[in-house]
Amino acid sequence: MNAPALRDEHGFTLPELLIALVLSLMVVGTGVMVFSAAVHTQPEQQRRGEGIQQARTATERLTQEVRQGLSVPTATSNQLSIVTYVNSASCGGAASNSAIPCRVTYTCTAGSCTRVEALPNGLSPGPARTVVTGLTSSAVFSYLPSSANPKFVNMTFSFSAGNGDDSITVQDGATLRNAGTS
Amino acid sequence: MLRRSLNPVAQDGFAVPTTLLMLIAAMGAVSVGVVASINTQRGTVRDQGSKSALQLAEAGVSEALLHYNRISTDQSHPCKPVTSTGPDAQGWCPAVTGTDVGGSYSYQVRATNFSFGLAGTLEIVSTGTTSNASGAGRRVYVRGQSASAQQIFSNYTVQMGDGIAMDSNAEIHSTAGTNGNFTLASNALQCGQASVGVGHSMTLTGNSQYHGDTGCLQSGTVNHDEIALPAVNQGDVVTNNDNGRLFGQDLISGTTNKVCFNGRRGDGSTGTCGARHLDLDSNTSVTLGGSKYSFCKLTMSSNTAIYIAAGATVSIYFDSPESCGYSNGVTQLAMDSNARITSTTGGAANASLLFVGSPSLQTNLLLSSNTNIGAACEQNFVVYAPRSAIEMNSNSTYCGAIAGRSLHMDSNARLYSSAAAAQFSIPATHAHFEVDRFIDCSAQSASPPSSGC
Repeated sequence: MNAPALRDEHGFTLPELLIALVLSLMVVGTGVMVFSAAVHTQPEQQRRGEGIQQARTATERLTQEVRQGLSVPTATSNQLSIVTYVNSASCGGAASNSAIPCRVTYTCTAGSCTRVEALPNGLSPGPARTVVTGLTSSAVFSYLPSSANPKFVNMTFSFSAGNGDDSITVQDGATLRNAGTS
Repeated sequence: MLRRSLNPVAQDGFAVPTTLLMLIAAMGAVSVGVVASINTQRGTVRDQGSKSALQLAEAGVSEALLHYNRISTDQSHPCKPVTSTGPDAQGWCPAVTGTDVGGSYSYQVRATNFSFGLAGTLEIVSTGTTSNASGAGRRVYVRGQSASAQQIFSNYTVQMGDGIAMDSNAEIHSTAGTNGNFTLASNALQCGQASVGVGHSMTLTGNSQYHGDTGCLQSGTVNHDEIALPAVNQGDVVTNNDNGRLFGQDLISGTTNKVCFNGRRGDGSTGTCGARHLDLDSNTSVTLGGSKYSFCKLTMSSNTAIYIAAGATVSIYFDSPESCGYSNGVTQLAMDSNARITSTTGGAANASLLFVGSPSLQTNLLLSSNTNIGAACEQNFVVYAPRSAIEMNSNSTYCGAIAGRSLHMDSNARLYSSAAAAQFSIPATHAHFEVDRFIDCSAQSASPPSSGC
């Protein structure tokens, strides 16, 4: 009697369901994989961003100190000692509103760089403070025209990269603007 | 028919949620990169803005220096080169603003240390502000010094920019200062207050000694004073000088054809000396009676002398090696074999040798003349050569004041000062300010302007 109604209750066939299930699993699986990859990559992206920012802060401070530098007592690839103006009440002491000449030494070893402030003759050094970490090379500094007579200091911070990504290199440099006066 | 009507229903069942899931996943993936990129871009914009602001601040400094080096000023109108308004109580002129590529700048200047109406020191505080999204600002302090009309030797009668080295019984009986190191070896003797640069030191080896007094009696401490040796501004002396007096009014004593200037010998014949090169050879002398001479080179050998006429005050300017066509390392003053420069009646301040020098080509002065004959002073003159290396040796005794880039004394050379030399003023030409201090200030703005620098 109600043949059309019975025919309306026909569902999907088993092959249709199986195909739909397989397709759905493939689509959902792909989505999960993409999402998982994004979540997995996020910390690495953040680390890279922080590394770049850390290197930027360090290079900005370094270039400022080099730019207003008077002389360079030590100039090697992993150590820069520079007599420069520092906004401190005393060399190695508390911050101040006026600049005084102090000797600032940056030493880069084993993936990090430290900064030490001392009197212009190198005596009474203050505590070493780490300014950059995660470096792949301690050869940070280079000099022009030469390390024996440095007028321009170039600095290169290289950071490692995971997952086959390109490494990060932040490079900057400055001329000693007060070199002729000391 | 029925199959066709059921198909859309079946597709609605999984397309919408799947699409939503894909969208969420895609947004999650993209947002990680976007956030990281934004953070990096923010830093990049700030870096670019900071560098741009520094350039703008330096543009303000350049403008101020240009104005003060081209427009004359005096103590009653110290702000004239940049503004018609006078300075405030602390000497700072009103702010001057300007624009350049990428933003604007504002600077204030203060001119001080006036001598004969000419400023010796110019301070500039300039702030640059970028117009990009970061709005970054940088403030710099720059100090310029001018030698014109200044008493350069008032604190130290021997002054060297890079360093002083004494060897082989050399002696200085005078105050001596350098911005570099002071090294004494092999019985060298420094008698008189000494000063070395910030972060530099005095080194004594081989029985050398340092005494704080010119009589070599007391021990002394070493100062750390800043030595300012601005370049010589020779003004118009290249064209307006007394070179024409040679050898008509400034007469030669001895064989006239052994003296040569500007390609001509004293007897009128053609010589081998170059342009503005005064060459004295073998037992000759010239007495200078003018006030300003412009030379490229002076060579004196074998018992030659330059005398300053009675009552005359002579300034001999040595032009830059570039203008003279010389190459790197040229010796612009060479005195040898009993040569001497001295005033017949006056003191050291009556004869001054002023060397323009070069920031890129090295110039040298060689003072060696075997004139130690027991008298106190065989040489009486002032040398101001802030860009030249000076070598003194061979048993010579000099009286006067000497300034240069570096000094090396050897072989029993002796140097004495005189009160007159210490009071010597560089001739008053138009001020030319040379930057000797640059500081990247900490704060954006302050009062007084140099506060925080």
